[in-house]
Amino acid sequence: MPKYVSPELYNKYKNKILEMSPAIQYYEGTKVQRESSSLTDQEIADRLGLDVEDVTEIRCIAELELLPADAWVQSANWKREKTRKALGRR
Amino acid sequence: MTPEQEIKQAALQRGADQVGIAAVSRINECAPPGHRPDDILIGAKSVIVLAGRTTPRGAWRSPDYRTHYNNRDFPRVRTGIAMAVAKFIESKYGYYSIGQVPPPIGFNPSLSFKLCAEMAGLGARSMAAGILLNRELGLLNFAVCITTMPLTADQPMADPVCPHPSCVELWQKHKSTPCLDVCPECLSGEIEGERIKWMRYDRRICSTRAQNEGMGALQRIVLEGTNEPDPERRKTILLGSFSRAVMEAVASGNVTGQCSECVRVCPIHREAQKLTAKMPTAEQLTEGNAQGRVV
Repeated sequence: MPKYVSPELYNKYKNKILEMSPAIQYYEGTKVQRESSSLTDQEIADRLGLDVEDVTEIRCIAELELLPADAWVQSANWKREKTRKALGRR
Repeated sequence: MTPEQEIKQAALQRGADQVGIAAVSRINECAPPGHRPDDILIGAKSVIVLAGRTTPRGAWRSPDYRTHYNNRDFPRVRTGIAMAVAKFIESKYGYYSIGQVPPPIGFNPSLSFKLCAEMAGLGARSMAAGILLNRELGLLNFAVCITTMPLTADQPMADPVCPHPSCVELWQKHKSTPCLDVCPECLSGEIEGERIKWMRYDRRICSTRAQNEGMGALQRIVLEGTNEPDPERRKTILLGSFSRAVMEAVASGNVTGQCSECVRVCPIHREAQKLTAKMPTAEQLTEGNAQGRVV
């Protein structure tokens, strides 16, 4: 089984870790800035004083759990609409 | 023929549309520790980047968005090309080489192919999520062959590809661009003069679109299904049409690049997808038939 992360640890850090990860990418010009986001799990662990394996597990769970459950179905509808609009179809 | 030319030719013959070489030392200036080519192959000196047009151009002309990702052929063949190049280098030149990198952990890749391709001069970052654009091919897919062979590297593009002049004009009038307009949930940015001043990409929503029917969706369906106490609702979650589509996509391995709406509206990409018919016209055929030949 994968490493278990306690609910307390997960809930305390889930948003912070996701925002520090490459989930958010900020560029000045075309150069990615890596001061507060786009960080590796090791870099996040170093900054937050956490174990890197905990960071990896929290990030992987948060990548999927912090989105609404119907986000994937809604995305299918969104793409259907955008494609038709781009091609001038109803 | 130089070794660089010979290696590039081998990749082109096997199906790559463009090939570039990046020095590991140059990639390492940007890639963080743990995500560098020599973290994957000890003593790596060069990365050969294989670029391919994502789909036949016709895939962009289907009103059904699923046609687009079902036609993504380069991701299906790219590993074979990279493997062939790796074996070619090992057998011809005697340097250790690999054609596959370790899998991602969550959404984080072990190595950024975009960075390697940028350093190899195959494309330049765009406002559309930092995706690399190439003037000739538009949106690209990449594969890499990492080798310990020291090779003369190509250089990153000297001039940016994005923004297109029409986007600069739009920005001046409306403070937006086609990509920012179509996907404000994922993209934001600003143009200054004829250059990107800054841009921000939010992968969170993008991941549900670009990997709409993929591993993340499958994991979430399983979680929602197992947590659902009502058996009828649980049945709908697990056996419904969306779950079926997700499982089919995962089973076939056709799970990435399922959204390209920001690129679909990009004028650089659109120009690269234009085709000119090469078949003779009906009039030419008629004239040719009368003369007993096709003109």
